[in-house]
Amino acid sequence: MSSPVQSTRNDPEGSHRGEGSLALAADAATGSGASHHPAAGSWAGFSVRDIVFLAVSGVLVLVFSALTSPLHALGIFGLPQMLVSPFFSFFLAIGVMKVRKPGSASIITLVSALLALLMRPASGLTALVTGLVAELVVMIVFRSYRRIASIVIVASLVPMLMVPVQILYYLLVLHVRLASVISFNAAVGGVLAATVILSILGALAGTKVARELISSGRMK
Amino acid sequence: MTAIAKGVSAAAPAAFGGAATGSHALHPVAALLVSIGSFAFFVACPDLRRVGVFMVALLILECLVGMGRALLLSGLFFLPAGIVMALTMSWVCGDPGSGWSMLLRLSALWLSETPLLVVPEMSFVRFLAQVHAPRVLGLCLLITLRFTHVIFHQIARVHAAWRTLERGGAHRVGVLRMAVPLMSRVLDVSDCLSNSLEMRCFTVDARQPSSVYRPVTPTMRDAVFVGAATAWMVGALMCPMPW
Repeated sequence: MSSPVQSTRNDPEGSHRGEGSLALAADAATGSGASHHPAAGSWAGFSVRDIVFLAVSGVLVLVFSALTSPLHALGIFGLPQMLVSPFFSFFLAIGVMKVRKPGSASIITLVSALLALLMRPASGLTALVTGLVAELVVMIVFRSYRRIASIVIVASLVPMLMVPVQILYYLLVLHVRLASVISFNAAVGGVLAATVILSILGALAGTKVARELISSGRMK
Repeated sequence: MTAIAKGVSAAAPAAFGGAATGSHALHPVAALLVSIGSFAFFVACPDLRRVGVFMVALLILECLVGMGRALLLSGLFFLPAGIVMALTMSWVCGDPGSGWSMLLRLSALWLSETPLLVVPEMSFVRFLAQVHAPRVLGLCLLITLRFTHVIFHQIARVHAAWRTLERGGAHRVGVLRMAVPLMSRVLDVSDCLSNSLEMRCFTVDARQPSSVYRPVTPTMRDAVFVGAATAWMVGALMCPMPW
């Protein structure tokens, strides 16, 4: 019986066989990795389970954000951020509440921005920067995610910070005058206020659902 | 919602997974270069005639390198989305011209994103392994590309369950209540995936240098594709327009 390494060496196309599912899984079974217990392998304190759940939460954010995309064409400044804010904060709160490790919010943001990074690097980068900044702020203040307040704040900060990061991107990268991008009127003001409210409501709803899942034993 | 989920579930593996898993697939860097370059051209070029010329040229080039099927499949998404967004834009602005502009932008996005859609996700992961990127990145990328339609299907199922309540009953069950079964399903999906990964001894520990992935090597076809796209871009910028 040949080991995975031998079979791979004998058949250069062997890595294609498992590609229907996540063939990445076979990666660690080779070489010295075969004797390495999977539970011992972690990255920055995250286990495989943590990464998978955070990534799936990021996909949820991506799917719900995509559902709102036809309305982004309305052309009101801040509207795309307002539309995605409740979903972003909701799933972010649940993901962070389950894992509770520093960096969780950044991983969810990374996954939700990954496709955008491939297709439109600028928007992907702004989303990524937003996640990092929000997490940094919360880590400086709370140092961990043990308190519910820290989870609510990080989950509501990420979508809220998207607007200022977008403005900074216009100013610093594109060198566009602020007045040519935003005309402050009632509609824009309403949209920005709604972004804040929806972000907080989404984060609170996320923690509520996570608590229900924890109390029912579905989530540990 | 269910119809959309069925469409996404049917189209996604065909577009992302099975379309080009062989050795004839594009190199991820070549696809990324053409995609970003063409998108930058569409955004930066002020002359719509030149944009139009480059769009036609890129369409022909993409068909020539075997992306015809992928263009049709991705067009099934981009065309309806473009029409909806164009109609919304025209209605809001009261100007049909802005609608046409939106349709043009969506068409440009369609053409510039298709090279990335035909690259099999395994090539991205192989390339990431080749350049010694963190394994977490590869795992996240695979989950993003492979699980989007799975999650969409789960949402559609929960939505269908919501609709099977008695007449008017759906109004009494809040959206928040429906988030619990959705998250329960998502937890099941992620547990299943985690178990599968752990059973195969997958680890995110980057200290293990070994990999079953063969390196992704650029071919002459990739060089021709990037070269031709660049030449078309320069040509569309430099050549005098006859009209």
